[in-house]
Amino acid sequence: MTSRRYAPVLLRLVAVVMTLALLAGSGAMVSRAQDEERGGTLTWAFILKPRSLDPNVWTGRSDNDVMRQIFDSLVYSPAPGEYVPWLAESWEISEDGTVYTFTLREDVTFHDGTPLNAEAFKATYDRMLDPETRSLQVGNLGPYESTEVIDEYTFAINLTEPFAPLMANLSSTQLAPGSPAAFEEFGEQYAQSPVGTGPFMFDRWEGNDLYLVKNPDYNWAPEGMDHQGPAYLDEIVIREVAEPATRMVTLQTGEANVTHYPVFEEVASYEEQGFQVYRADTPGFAKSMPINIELAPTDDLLVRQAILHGINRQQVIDLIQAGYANVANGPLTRPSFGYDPAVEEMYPYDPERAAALLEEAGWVDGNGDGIREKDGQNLSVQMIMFDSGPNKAMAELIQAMLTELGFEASLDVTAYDAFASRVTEGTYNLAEMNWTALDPHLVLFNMFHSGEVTGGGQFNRTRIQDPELDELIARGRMATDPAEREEVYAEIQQYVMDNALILPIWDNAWITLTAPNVQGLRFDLEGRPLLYNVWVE
Amino acid sequence: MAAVEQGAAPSIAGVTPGAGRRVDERSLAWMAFRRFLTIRSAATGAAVLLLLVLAAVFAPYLTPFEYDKIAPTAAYEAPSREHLMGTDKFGRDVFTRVLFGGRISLTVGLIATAIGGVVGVLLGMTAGYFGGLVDEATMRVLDMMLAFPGILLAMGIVAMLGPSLRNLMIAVGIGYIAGFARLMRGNVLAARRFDYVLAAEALGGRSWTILRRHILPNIAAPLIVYATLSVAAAILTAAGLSFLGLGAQPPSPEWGIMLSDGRETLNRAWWVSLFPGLAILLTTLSINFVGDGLRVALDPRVRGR
Amino acid sequence: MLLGVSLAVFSMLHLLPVDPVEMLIMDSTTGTAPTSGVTDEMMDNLRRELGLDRPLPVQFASFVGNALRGDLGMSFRNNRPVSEMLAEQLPYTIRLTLAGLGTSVVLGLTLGILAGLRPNSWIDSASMLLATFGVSMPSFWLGLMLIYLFALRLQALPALGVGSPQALLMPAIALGFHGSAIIARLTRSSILEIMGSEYITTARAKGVAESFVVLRHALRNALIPVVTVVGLEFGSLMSGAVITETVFARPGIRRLAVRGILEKDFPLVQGFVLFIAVIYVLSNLIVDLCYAWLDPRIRFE
Repeated sequence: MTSRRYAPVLLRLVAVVMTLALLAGSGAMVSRAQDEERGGTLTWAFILKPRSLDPNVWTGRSDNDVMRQIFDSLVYSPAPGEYVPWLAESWEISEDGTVYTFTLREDVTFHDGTPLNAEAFKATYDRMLDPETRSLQVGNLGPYESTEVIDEYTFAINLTEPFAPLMANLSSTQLAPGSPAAFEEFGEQYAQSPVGTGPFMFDRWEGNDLYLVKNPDYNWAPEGMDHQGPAYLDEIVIREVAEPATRMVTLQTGEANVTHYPVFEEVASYEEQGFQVYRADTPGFAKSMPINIELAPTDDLLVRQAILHGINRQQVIDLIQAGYANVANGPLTRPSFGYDPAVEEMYPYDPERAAALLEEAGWVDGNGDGIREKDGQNLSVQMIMFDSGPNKAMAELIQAMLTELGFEASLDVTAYDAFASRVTEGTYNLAEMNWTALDPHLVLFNMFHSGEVTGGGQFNRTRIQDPELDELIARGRMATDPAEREEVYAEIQQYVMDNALILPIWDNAWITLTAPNVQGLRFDLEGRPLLYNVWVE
Repeated sequence: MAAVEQGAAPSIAGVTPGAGRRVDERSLAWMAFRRFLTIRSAATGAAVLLLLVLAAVFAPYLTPFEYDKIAPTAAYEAPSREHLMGTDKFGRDVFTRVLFGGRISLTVGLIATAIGGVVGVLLGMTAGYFGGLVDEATMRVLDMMLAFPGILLAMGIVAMLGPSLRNLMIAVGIGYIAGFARLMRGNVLAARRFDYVLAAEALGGRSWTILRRHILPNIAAPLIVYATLSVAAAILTAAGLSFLGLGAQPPSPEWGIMLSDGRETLNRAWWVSLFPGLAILLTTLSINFVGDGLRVALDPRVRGR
Repeated sequence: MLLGVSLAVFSMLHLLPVDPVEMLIMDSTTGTAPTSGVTDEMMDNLRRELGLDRPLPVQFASFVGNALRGDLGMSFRNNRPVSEMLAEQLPYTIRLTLAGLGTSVVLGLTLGILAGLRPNSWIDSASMLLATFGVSMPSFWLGLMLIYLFALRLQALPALGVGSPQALLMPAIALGFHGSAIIARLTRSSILEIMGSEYITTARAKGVAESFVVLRHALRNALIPVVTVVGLEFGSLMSGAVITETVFARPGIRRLAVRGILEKDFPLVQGFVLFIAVIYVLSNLIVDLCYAWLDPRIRFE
């Protein structure tokens, strides 16, 4: 991995597959006859049974991978900050940034036959606002005031103040329209039998297996997809296989032809055997350990800087992710809107520098036990982590690396709830954060705004409270000019790294493995697979 | 009884109270010991167990490595003369970790059994001896504990107290209370009908004295057997809970955690999870053989064999 | 007793130093929060909608009241009736439990009879060694090793424990091996005892064929303790075999409950525990009925 800037979604394909994909990609070459030959069943060894398929209410990284196949959005985002028509033919944003007017395509229907119109959007957003819906996604609407139906196919979203992330949010699944008839019909059960306008339709549950079938009427794919008309695949089976090792084995035994959240150590050997490995680097908050600036010894900037210089991040990635991720250098990942490459040179791995910083701060190992002391106190830091995916191994490794630097590092790996209560108490020096998001506003707001130290999900785990930073965050949200926003976000990134508020580790990367005969897989900006283009040979 | 999965104690079936006669205790113990040694599996089990204990105690002298020292350049090395059981993903020596893990697993087994044993024996004795309302109430509670799914109980306790080795021992221990209590109650009920107990009572002996002097020694045999088997089951249960992430904290070399960490890379590096698994198997196997040997050795009915 | 169990689980859950609403907003795949900003207001709204703002006794009373009518409440996280979720997963759990028990009984009886008929022979030692292996082996480890060997190396069996009849084979062995040890040992000692007893000697003296003697008399008597164990085992397997379900990626109520505990989904956990307590009571009842059938004397006690 070189350090050049990456394309928004980085697809790491085997050379042979790349050629095939290119062939398939040139739309003109794909004849109708070929289309009809393409098809098959995709069986996906899935990390967790989708708990809810209602994108307006619930989100879960893996649940959303399924929702993306069932639901279409107003606009499609081919690159950060760029939007092309999808369900909306055109749109207009008022001068002051508070009224978004959309004109819809007129040929779209939901899976249950309900036509897609302005009323459907109103119904979707009104339902999200209803407290009884218990939507966790309301925040995506920002300072939402109302949805106004102008005519059958035109509507306006009115805001009380400008909200720059709205377009990004509208391109994601969370604000995708659902069938108003289905809201009525299914009520609480809607989350188990969703009705959208997407290329695949919910079919049935069998045990923990979810079946989706092709939407035969689909003809409204966004620009830039490889074909028009219905999807190639006839059926998608989503089978929960929670155990990572078993998930990998199902590819070998042919019980599944696609899987995700792999055992990283084995990915290379699967690649050698002809399985295809895809990697999607996503925008958002890097996998990192926020550093608590209120608790000693990390209240000292020198100590925080020593940690940043002293952790060999590339080695962490090599050992934990088998090299499948880029080193992160700041709060935002490389593919994020507003990413500032200036942070890249700030904290190279330099253990001698780290030692010097610690000595400058007064921490020296006087008694030769390997642990540094100052005023009779050991240099101890408390790490907290919740047990999920690579977290435990990552924390264990960083703990060992801190020990080498002369820290006395203790680590508590718990379930998320216990972790969350430790965050509330503030009894930690290093915690965890990572977040995939199309727009940087929410993640930066949640992580660094003074209002987020308490309350809500308590995401400001650095516990920084600075009016200057709050002001920058507010400007990023309100600015309607993308260039101005980019400037603001560069400033925020600089601020965070100048103060060494977080230990960035890697830029979020999602790995998907498929059998050799699965063709045409691609990903959207958020790293969600778009199965619309996929077929099985 | 699927103890691994749900924290149940070993079966109490087949553990019978001693016959209703008082024999000279010392000669009985000696006879039992000699009988124990003649049982090949039991003697082997005891020898292996002794070796395991010694290996755990003298672990630092048996290996040049530290169990928590990472060596990233030496990750996933196959077993060799230098690394007898290979290395794990951080380049730590698996053999060293298995040795140190033995300390943890054996301690957990013993302490969890002690917790369950002491509380269970007291409850069971009280219920069995005093009978009536005390018995009724105790048995109700015990029934409830048995009906309560063991793993949920353990998980709940760990969730309440936080995951750590100490809390793991408490959680596993609590799961064994009901088993010990039931065994004791049954045996005490049986022992109460023995002539000498009735005699002692008729002579106006104090309840606790009778329990301690006359009843406990007579039902010691099944208790020892049951406790031995419990240690093995507790090791398995603890490993299962650690496997689920509810036990010791990293970089602890607890066997269940090692197994759980290594399970993902079975294909690439089988040694990381095979050896801790074998260590668990060997330990519980030898304890079970010892337990079975004790059962035979201490059971007066099979003296003839 | 059921009320006691409910009260116990209810208090346990509410003693947990955790806010279920905190868990509710978490993304279970990556452990991060959802991509929307969650405000205090939203969390208060959730708490109110879930009825968590009511005093504890009121919450408990409403749980018991509803449970009596067969309504176990709505799962916090899934927003679905708990009874429906349990019912959906139940067939898988029962199938695996029965398969595991079947393995235990078949393997246990076979080993026990072989050992009991030829005491102190090599068959006896081998059978008992195998049985002790069963009781000493961590079942999750056995499951992983089976997958590695049969699914990956030999490709003889599917890795997923659901979908076809042979798919049930490995999970059943991983689950049942443990119980077979106890059954084998019980069967062996019962057979030893009975073979030495008078009425078998009498039967033999009458010239009844050996195998018939074993089947007719010894086995029937040997079955009594076995039935107890099977009954207890059924209850504990129904609630316990969570790791086997996870390793083999099978649906089941046990995994549902474990996830419920991890995510503080109170109604789900309460419903599960109550359900298991009912199963426990029922299986004890069935064991008693079996006794009566196997040993007519018990009826008169």
